[in-house]
Amino acid sequence: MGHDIWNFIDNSDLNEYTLIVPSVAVGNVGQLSCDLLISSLQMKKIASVYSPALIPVLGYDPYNLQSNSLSSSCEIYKSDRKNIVVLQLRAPLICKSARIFLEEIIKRFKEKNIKDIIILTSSFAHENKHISTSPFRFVASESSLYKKKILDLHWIEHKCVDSPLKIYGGGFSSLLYEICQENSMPCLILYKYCSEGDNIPDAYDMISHLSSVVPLFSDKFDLLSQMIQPVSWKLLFGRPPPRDIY
Amino acid sequence: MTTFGDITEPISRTAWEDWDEITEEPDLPELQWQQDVGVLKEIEMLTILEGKYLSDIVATQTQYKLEYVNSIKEANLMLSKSGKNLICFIKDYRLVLSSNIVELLKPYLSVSNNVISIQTKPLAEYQSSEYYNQECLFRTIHTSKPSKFTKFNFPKLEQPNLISGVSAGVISLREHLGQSGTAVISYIEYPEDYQIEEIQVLLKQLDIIQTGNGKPSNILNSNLYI
Repeated sequence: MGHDIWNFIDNSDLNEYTLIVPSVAVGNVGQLSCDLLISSLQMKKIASVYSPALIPVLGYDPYNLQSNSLSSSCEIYKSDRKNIVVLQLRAPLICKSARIFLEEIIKRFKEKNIKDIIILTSSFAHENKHISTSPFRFVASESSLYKKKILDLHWIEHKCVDSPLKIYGGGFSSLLYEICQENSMPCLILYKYCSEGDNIPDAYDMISHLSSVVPLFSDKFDLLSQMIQPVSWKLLFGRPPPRDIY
Repeated sequence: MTTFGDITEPISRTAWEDWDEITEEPDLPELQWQQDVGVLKEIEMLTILEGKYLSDIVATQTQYKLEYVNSIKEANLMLSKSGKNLICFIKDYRLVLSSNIVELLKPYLSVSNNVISIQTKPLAEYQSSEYYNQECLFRTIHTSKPSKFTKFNFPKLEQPNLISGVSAGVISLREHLGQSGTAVISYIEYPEDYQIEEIQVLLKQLDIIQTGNGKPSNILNSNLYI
């Protein structure tokens, strides 16, 4: 990569922070979940990333309709209260350049001293062989910080049939997991079996599932009431029907 | 047409690569300029015209001579010179190649004082809670650093609308480098109508065309009995 891909607005150390990365996957569940998290926790943008490994997309801030600040393929958001950082992706990665880009992410965040990584992704609903069980599965590295909690919650582990790890429809999640392993970075993959369509309910499910192991919201209030949809979701499925048809 | 039981991916995903079956063989062509870029002098303005519609309009202006500068064959990209300005035409390229194309354009982008990209999109794609009775809507995206084109009176692109591809990459890169740039998006109702006045006016303002009478040849305006 010819130039520095990072453009940090806030250069502070991220010691004790957890990095959450969505994988571009079935129904974009990981990305929708991160959008929901950024909006609900009113996370602050701390960096933008420009890399040839990403298909370029550009628009204005999806969390504030009045803003004149640009929003591009990859941006980083931080919540000081919850000690989490989200690397939001709004475009797919290009396979050929993915490894270099993901290695650069791990290298940079290791330098910033983050404690672990959580990858949010999804898999094709037809891959779920046990449909009466929970649609969620997880993969945790040996050093994962959530192993005990997950055990208490009886989460179902991903059945490793393929080696290396493969999550069908899960995008780059298994590649990022492999890179985390190579760099001794504690890592947890959480994914949901789903189909393409209106995947907003999947994003809600994902965040509530995640918050049972990572304290994201207050226990004093109902979880749903604390989740705030980004304003840009209002027109996610197009314009209202034309008035002439009535 | 699919048969019962077939799993069909939505159209929005067909441009993407299949992560489940990554093969060793690279699927994407290696892009390169036809001629060596060399050391570039300052460029006053670089205009990127994205899509067949805009290329066709300029192509009909035969009296307006453009000097060939360079091209990328595999991406249908051609760079032409008009005085101190460069005009880049790009159409029918694969979306996954866009960031590669922007990387190749980078030497030109970094020495340009002003960069503007223009593209057309179907009006049906514009997502808005308001109703518009116009056949053509202009929207813009400006970098944080004000550009020469900030004075354009077009409203900003409302969320959740986005642009993607080369135009998005060019303006993103300019923003990343702390330089100025503007993307103009023209949402049009009838993409076969080459006489849209607003687009003709914009291209004339940018000194890209001189008259607005051009009409590309097609089978309907040929004199064939069909």
